[in-house]
Amino acid sequence: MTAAEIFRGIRATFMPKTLLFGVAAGFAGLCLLGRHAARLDVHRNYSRFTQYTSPESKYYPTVNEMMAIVRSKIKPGQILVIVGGNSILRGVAQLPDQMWSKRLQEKLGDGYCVVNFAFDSSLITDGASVAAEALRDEYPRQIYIANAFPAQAPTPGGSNVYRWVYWDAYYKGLLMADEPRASAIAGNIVKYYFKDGIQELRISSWLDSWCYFNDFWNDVAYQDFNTVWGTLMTPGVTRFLDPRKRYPDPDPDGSLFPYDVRYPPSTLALELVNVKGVSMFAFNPDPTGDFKKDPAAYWQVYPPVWTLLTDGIKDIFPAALKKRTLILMSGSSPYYLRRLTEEEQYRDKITFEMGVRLWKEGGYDAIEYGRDFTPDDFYDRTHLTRFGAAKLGDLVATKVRAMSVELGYLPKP
Amino acid sequence: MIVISQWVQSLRAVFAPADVQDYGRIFNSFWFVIFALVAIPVFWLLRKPFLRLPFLFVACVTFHYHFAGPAGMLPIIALAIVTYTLGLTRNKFACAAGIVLSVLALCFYKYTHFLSDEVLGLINKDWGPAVDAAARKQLPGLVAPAGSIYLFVPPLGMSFFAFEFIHYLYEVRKGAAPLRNPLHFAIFAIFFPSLVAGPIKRFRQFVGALQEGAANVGSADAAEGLCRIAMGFLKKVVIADNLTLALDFYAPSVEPGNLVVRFASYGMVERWFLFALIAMRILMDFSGYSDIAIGLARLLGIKLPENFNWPYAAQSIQDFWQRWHISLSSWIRDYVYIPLGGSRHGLPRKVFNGLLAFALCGLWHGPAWNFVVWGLYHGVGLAICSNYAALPGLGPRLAAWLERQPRTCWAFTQLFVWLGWLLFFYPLPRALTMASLLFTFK
Repeated sequence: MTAAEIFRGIRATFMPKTLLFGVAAGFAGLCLLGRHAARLDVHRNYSRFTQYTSPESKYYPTVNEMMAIVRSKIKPGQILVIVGGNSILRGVAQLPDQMWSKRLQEKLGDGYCVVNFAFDSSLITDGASVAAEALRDEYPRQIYIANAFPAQAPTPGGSNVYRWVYWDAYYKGLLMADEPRASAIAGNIVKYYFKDGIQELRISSWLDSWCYFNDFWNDVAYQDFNTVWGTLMTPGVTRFLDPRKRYPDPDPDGSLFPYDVRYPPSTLALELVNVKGVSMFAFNPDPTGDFKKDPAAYWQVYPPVWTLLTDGIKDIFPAALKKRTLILMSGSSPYYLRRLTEEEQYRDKITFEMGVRLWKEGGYDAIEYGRDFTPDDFYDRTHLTRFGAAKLGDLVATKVRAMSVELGYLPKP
Repeated sequence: MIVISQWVQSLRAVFAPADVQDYGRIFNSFWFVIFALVAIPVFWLLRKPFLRLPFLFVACVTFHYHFAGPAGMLPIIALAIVTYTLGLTRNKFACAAGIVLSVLALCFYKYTHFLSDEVLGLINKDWGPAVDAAARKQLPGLVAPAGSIYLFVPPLGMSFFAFEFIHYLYEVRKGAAPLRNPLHFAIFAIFFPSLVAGPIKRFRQFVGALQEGAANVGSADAAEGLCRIAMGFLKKVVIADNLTLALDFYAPSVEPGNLVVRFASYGMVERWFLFALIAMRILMDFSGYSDIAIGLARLLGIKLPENFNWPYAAQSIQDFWQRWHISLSSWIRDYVYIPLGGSRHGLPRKVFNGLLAFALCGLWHGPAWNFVVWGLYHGVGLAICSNYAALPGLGPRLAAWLERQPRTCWAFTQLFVWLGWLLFFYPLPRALTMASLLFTFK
């Protein structure tokens, strides 16, 4: 039987107009289901987005999904603390019970609700910040935490991989109108991203604001059956068609790994270059490749790098949201820092101090961490073990309490 | 104000030039969804053919401009104007010149790098890079990005344009009446559903279907078109795209180090399973895309030629080529094989013509040797399949036996075709090793 004969059969079976009506009604029904799914928290007992619920395995959480998670976790009267940033704050190498954000929740107590929306390799401006902004009116007492490296200017509207969340919220009307940010994003699109899928992303986000297909398919993929194959589908652990809710949280307890796995001797030279690199480009190289020092033998900063940071952070968030943002400057493991020369260690230190100062001057709050940690606190050069996670949780809890008072969320003691 | 600003932003996004880099995903793109949601209902609402045809032309130009850009459109417009004008003259020499021009344009855009590096390079290794460098220097604006298989960026759908223009001029040269209505010719040339991946149209059938569709498109067309599009998307997005992701992981065409290490590590059942998936992937991908194209045309009331007819049910190689990419195989037959002499000049010439036609058929798929080898492989298969019965002694008996064994014929045909896909997708050494691993127990 040819395809044409099959279609003739279909035509004879269904009256065309009935079929067309059915298609239209079915589509409308799916849109309504999408709208319904957008209000559901499918991630019951949520702790974080894992590799199986992130773009690494072709799962793209929507802003509605994140908002639903917050609504189901938060209790009346709690201050909302949303964690963004990269894999360090996502808690790589920490079991769900060992996560630094869990420790933060424990230290802060019932007055706060900590929700971790960090993704691997994401920036300050990615998904979590968008979810926090979308919830600004519903939960005005909120603090947003993300991490960065010194002199790392974030991209307005989100990084390449994660910017879908910004446009998702934008076309659903969930973001604050902010002309400086809009101009910064438009400038970036023209400069960097125009030929990199931004147009398709914007059209899809606009269509999704009417049809809610992303929420619908995420709901199906998480609860019922997965629809997209990914390289993270590990035979014996995950099966292609299984709903994502059955997939494990694959992060191990990194503290159990021996030192030569966490700090492999074979990569020592490369990692030292990386550690030096954090501060290297922020200072003036002289023609011999060394770095200029002023007459008092201090390192001279390289102004363009810092100007880029100052300009870069100026318009990433609306002014009203800056002061409730806490930036954590992620330090390197002392395992490597101690192997630097004294001068290099000093340069690293003043780079971090400068980063913190400039973020603060930009209207945000910022602290650095890691310099007083031990190699046992780190899983590798940047990620933390459960020991480091506990220390970070304690440190940030103190800061968040102080911020809550400064922001007027809590009365002064 | 915010709502208006967002509307303006979204409209700006919709009307900006394309940033879809993968042309295999044009029908999956959201821009195309918006385009189709506007263009097709407006076509229906216009009611009168004298309004519908100009509107369809504008829609086709919009589609072509969006995905090809000015640089991709200009060569096609120039070639189309030349083809249309030469067709009107009905002069045999002029039509032949137009055919040569289309062939040269195709070779220039798709095969310059292949001809210089792979063919000239075989004669002298310095010649290829020298020709490449000279071409880059002379035409810097057309040069493809580094790492491309092309020297110059080919206009979107170049292979289809060239084949349709050649067909048009060949038929006019043989005595067919040319298209006098420039609108009919323009829509034939850049009809958006078939612009990216065919089917390759024949102008007389197409213009008849176009006039019929413009006059009589109805709800039955819309229903059939939607069913066909749904089936196409099911094949392409749900099945083929997932298979592509899985095969890129389990049987990648490029793998560092030992090229076959991963395939060799699998057990026999897994290897054959992957082998079957490779065959399913190309069928679902290509026939899915054809289904979408045919369904879209049907929404406009236009019947495009079928491109696939259960090819994996074929019981011989000839049968397969009457079911697989039908519009291409019939084009190759009509405009390469038969003009070369077909089967009219004895067995050796028939075999040679078949091999040449299939080598060109392979090369049409891309400028690389593995496509040529794949074409020759099918040419050899077809030559054996269509001539073995004439072998003295064994031939007639074998033919009689096979006639009674349709399942055996089917199994051998499919094994032959599926092994051919290894040549199609993988570099030759890897394809041969993978094929041998299918028959090697650990």
